[in-house]
Amino acid sequence: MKYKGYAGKILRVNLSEKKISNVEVTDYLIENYLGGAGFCSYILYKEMRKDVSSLSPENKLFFCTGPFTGTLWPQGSRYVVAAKSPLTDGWGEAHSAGHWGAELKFAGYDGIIVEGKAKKPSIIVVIDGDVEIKDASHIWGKNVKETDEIIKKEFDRKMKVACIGQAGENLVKISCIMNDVDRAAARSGIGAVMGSKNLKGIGVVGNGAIEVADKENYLKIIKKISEKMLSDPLTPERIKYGTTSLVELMNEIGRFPSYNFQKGQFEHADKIGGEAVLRYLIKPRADFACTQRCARYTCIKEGKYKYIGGGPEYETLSALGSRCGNSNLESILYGHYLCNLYGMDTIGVGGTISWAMECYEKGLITKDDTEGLDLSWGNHDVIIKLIHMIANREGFGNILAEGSYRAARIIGRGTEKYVMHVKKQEIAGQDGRAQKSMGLAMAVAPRGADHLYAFPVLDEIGFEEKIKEIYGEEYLPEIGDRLSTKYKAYMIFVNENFSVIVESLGACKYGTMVPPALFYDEVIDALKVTTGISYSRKDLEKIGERIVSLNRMFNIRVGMSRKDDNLPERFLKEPMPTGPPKGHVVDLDYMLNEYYDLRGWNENGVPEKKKLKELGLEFTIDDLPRGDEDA
Amino acid sequence: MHRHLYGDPMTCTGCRICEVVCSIIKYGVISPSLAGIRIIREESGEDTPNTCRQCKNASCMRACSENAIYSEDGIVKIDSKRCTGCFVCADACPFDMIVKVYSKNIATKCDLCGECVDFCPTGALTVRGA
Repeated sequence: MKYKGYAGKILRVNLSEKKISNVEVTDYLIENYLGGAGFCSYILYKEMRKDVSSLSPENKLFFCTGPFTGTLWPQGSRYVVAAKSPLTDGWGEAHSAGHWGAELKFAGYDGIIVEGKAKKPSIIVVIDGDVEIKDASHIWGKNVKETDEIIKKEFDRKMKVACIGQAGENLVKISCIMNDVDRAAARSGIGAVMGSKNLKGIGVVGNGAIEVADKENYLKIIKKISEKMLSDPLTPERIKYGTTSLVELMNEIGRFPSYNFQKGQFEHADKIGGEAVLRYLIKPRADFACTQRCARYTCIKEGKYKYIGGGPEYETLSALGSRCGNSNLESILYGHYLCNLYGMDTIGVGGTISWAMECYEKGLITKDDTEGLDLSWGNHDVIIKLIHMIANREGFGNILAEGSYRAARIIGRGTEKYVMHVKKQEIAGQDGRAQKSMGLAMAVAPRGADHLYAFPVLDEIGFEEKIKEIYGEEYLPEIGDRLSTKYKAYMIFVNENFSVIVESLGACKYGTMVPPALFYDEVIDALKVTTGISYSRKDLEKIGERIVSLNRMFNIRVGMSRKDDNLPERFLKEPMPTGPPKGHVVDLDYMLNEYYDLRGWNENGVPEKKKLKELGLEFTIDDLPRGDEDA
Repeated sequence: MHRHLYGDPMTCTGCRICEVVCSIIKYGVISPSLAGIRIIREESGEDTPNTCRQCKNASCMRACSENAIYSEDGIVKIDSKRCTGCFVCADACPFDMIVKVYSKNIATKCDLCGECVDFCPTGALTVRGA
């Protein structure tokens, strides 16, 4: 391997056969897919048949770092974990940070592919070059915090642990994988995939080293990039509030989802926003090599909601707060803490509970369904009860554990109408009616209802100088107007290409997308001194396009197409009631047509053969559906 | 008071950039296990930078049977040419601050070069007693 910055090999663990082997990280892989999301996209497409069932032993769970993970890129901490999603039955991907990914690289691995299913609950223990599958029967049933402590005590207190809680064990479809106790790889139901393999956790100790290509200039280049990050005008706010102050901002622009998206403004936003959270803040905390320290560490000192731990983020304040009509901040903080302990995606949990609350409000779900629980808006006692019930699949919680899309199909009675999802995954705390680019972004993202795949932010407020720099002056003013659909397809196209590069590098979107401090120039410099690769912006954009179309093909071959790039009726037909976006709906078709065109996909959203060839994706051409192949 | 590196546990955010910078400056690679500073993450919320105290009557110095450890300008240093890699000094240190460099079979430690202080993004690190 001629490049530095990588460990050079990926660990493959087959839990059925108890076999451990290595996969070489080839120059081809590095040059064409970079790492992280790119590696996951390529390897899982090639190694998995399209008809694999997501909770079967044939599904593969791939944890993958990037060349920047474990290095001094200003947030060099991230890893991706990918598999076929039990929520969407399509491409599934989750991202996390903390310190686990860096530790894996120091142990000598760029990633771990987990296959098969263990006969008994197991953990994988990686101590530098030594890899073993160990019995975890005594840990099965424990929460994430207990699991972390037990594994560290048994093996090494320096060990970094990625694990599931009871929710993943119970195959809850909105469960997640946690690492370093309070960092979450949350979406796509990825926790259930790990649980279906009887895999409780992966503990890593890494005493090894990562080499950089240009030892002489490395620190100098990194210092410059770091300073750009730290001096961005948005950074002080990030440090002080994390993402919690987005509550106030989103509420102001009418994009703060409330009452299951019936409204875009919450009358009690000030009770659950960044200022309110400050009262519970112990301090900001950082992931590996992160200069921005946006993670929160908080506590409630006494009472029924007493806890100490990481979080919350904006998403949770929305998901368990405004979306449920809940203005009780302490219950939101405690609910977040429980989701971390059980290993559940707060967006999925909040999205599912708030759906049930709207159905309850409309009399479609009654106390007969909920076994007497009162699902009135803002009933935080019940929200907390439901979190326990969902994680343990108890009573009504067993239905909610399927996620809102499937729960609605189980109950019927017209409850389907109120599910706020795309491709069966719950929508996050963004409303496409209040920011049209976000509407397109979540409709087309491969893992379903994903605000982060494209993460359009620069049209939220201002950022005109940045818009000129990144997209071009000729697209102003419409591209900077969040209520206009014009040029938004182009915005999403540019964003997705860069964003998948960020996820392939092991870098963080906070610092690249927002604050928009670091872009292609910085990535190119860092890539050169870290790995030795000399790439231009055009080279990187091509890799970005490649990964996006490859993710697309993963979904196309399981039968998805334009019909799945859809938004809930509420976004398409119900005008926003208040605030700046009052009266707006999402004109999705217009943006979709433009987007497909930019991507080189046909009007059914299927990549055209010539585009696939251009991007080096010939191996996917046989998977094109009949009738959608062009000449 | 003698000079030594100190890190405030409530200002430190646990990013460990200091550990990486130390290993790059001293060994040219990224490897926190080689760093002369180590961050201990507590459940209470404290991230405690564990640093060499540059002890006046250093346990490591007294434990060494090769006269490899000495004090210069108040900084405790290890002479790599005399060090035999027996690591008795590491066992003796009450703060677990001796670095065992297995690849070179020598012990090393913080020599107060100050680079980590320069790179710390929060200002949590200072040299005290200067």
